Amino acid sequence: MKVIGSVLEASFEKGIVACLMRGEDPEDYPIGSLAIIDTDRNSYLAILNEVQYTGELNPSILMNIPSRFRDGIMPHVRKRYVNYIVKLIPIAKYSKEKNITEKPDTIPPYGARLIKAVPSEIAIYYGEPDWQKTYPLGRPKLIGEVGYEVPVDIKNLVNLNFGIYGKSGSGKTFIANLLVGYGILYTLYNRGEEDYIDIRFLIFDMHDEYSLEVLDNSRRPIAKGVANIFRKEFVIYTPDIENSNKFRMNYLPIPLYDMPSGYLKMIIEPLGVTQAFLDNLATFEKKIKRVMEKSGNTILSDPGYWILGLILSQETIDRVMSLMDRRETEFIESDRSVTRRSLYDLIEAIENVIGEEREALKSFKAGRRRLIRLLNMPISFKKKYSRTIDEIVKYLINPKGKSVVISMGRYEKTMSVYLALANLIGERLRIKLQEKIAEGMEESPTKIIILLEEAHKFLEKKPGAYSPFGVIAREMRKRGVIIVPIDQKPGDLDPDVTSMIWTNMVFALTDPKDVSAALTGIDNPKLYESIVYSLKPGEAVIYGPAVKFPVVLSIEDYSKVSREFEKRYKEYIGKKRSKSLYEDDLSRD
Amino acid sequence: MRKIRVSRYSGSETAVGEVASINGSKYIIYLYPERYPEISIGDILLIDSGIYHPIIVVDENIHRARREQGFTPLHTGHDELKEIYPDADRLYIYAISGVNVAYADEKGSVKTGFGPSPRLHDFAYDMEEEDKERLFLDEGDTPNFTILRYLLHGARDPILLREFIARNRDVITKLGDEREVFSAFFNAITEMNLGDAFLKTAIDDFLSIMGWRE
Repeated sequence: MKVIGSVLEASFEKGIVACLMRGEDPEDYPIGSLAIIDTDRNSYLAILNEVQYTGELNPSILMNIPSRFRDGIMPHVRKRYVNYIVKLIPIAKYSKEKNITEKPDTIPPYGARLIKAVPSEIAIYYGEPDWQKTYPLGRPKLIGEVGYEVPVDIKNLVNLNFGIYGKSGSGKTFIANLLVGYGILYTLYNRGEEDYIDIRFLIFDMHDEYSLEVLDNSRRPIAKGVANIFRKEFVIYTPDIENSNKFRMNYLPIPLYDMPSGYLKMIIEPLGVTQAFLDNLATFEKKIKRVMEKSGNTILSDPGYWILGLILSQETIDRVMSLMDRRETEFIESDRSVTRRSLYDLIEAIENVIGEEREALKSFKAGRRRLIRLLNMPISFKKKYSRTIDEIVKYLINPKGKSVVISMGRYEKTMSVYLALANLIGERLRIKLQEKIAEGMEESPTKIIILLEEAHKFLEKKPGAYSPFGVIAREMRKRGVIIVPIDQKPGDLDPDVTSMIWTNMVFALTDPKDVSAALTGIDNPKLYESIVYSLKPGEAVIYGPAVKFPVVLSIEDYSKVSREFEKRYKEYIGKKRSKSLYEDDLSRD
Repeated sequence: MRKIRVSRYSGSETAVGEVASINGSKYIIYLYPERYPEISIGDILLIDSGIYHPIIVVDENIHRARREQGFTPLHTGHDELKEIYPDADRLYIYAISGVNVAYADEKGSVKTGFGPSPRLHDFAYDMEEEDKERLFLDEGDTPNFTILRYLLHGARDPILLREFIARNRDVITKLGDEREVFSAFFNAITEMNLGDAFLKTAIDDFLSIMGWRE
């Protein structure tokens, strides 16, 4: 036990102040390191949140010495004239009498020994990963020591909403892949156990880093994405038809066939349509359907195509025709029977009916111009795709289902497509669950975990705004659905949502508003702010039920863990195969 | 570790005076009148006290009439007085006081610190340049100015320090690389609570006397 300092001040509000022993080098004390404060009765685990010193040598003396002599005298000046002070946040207490670890409710006495934390002591507080129920999340910063991995308790993690925050490139995607992989292993390893949780992930994968490859900050692939490793545990959908062919993913265009206006609102709202247009949308739906029902054309008389009627205009007719011609985009069920003439007739008929009210026609035409952008999106009026969303929801809820990834492919930067698909799936899931609840379901048979990148786009606090994910975050947790916001702007999230995030993984953030939001829920958040500002890429402050006590971790290297995932998954598949062969043999006997 | 040659400091021939009194770390040495002009403030003397050889740094000169009243022939001048009274020096006291800073043992090993006290009338000698060097080196022969702590403990006087540096400049120059020497000096004087003004003056004086200011 190496004593490195002594406690000089302590309070719950301001934390602990200790003075380092003479000869200690402040460069050995990175912010966020764990240290132990030892007393006769307890030992306290603490996170270092400030290192400072006071120099007592008169600067005029020092500055009067020619520079060539200064380096030589500095070791002595540091020893003789400088007091190194460290500030620490007490995060846990180990009672030597009771042999238990708990949240600290006392402070160490004056002069208590500050000692270097070694892995075996830290393990008393956090436990050790067993690769069954707990998995290595990262290495804590220790003073001059590494080599211990803090485990994440998967059951505790998925029991409540959790969030991942950090600037771009700070490591959010790495940790998310890591946690998804652990969740999958947990499900595979613990199936049939008493407290087993059947975890399903719904991942909105903006940059294909779950479905294909995880990239480093220079966009170079470093490892397979988690769904690409546990391939049989996932169903991957994509709105990118090229990727769907190239990587054998399921094609998922925005399914516009027979979409009710309520759903369509969620898709077109980000396109900048007016409120009047949105307010009238249900009326437009009714009127367009009426017109179509009277149409003689076999296809266009199907009211399921009403949205086609909404976007058709003199300006868009060529583009609609060309979409029908282009085989790479699946558009409508039987485009050969739709002619330019029949489309012109339809436009005229719709405008006549809506034009019965002059103001409504004005709003309709203005909104229709905005909807031109829909034609740039991967949309489809084919009936089969309107069932895809239900299929996804079924995968998630059904005990025999799988996890789902929505891989955005070439639409990775098209926020409107991402929002449209996420909102559609979210809303459908919400409705399905509510139907099940109405039928008497207490809890979803599977634990559905929704990873939502750019979460503030769905969960921002905006009066009157509706997001299915907001409802899910607030109301569905007890029914077995949790939301995982992955965001670089947690300050923009609805505080009602962030207050329900239990385990938080906070990577580097710079905006004080974001830092403050990300630290909602930790004791004495102010004390952690300096730590969050100082985090390097790959480092995060983790707090909440998934880790026993708050900790600053250098998150496990995903590329290394991904190889472990592959190895373990291969072993699992091998065992499963031999088990089923054995069972086959038995049944034959 | 180099040693000093204690054998060269014996007998009355080369002695500059004798121990007259001791008060803690302060010694009074009565100088032989003819040697009196040779000894200045800041000089280092070694006392032959048998086994041990205390080493002192001169911090004061004392020259006065042996009696309080009586022989005070003013308006004559020293040379004229010597012509009239050839043994006039016997009527005066030529003395210095010195601060004990170190001692050498019988084998010539030097230790910084207060050694055993000398006896009255032990001979005192002006230390040779090559032996003085030993006082500024530690056992590993690297520069060390710990004797300043003892000197300034006995007489906290910036002028004395200045004189001491000046009188021993050549010895200090030979100790080694200037950076190493300065660091040793700095380390020693900052170990005492001298106060900012004293410290600043001491560093300034040291750098100026050594010619290391620029």
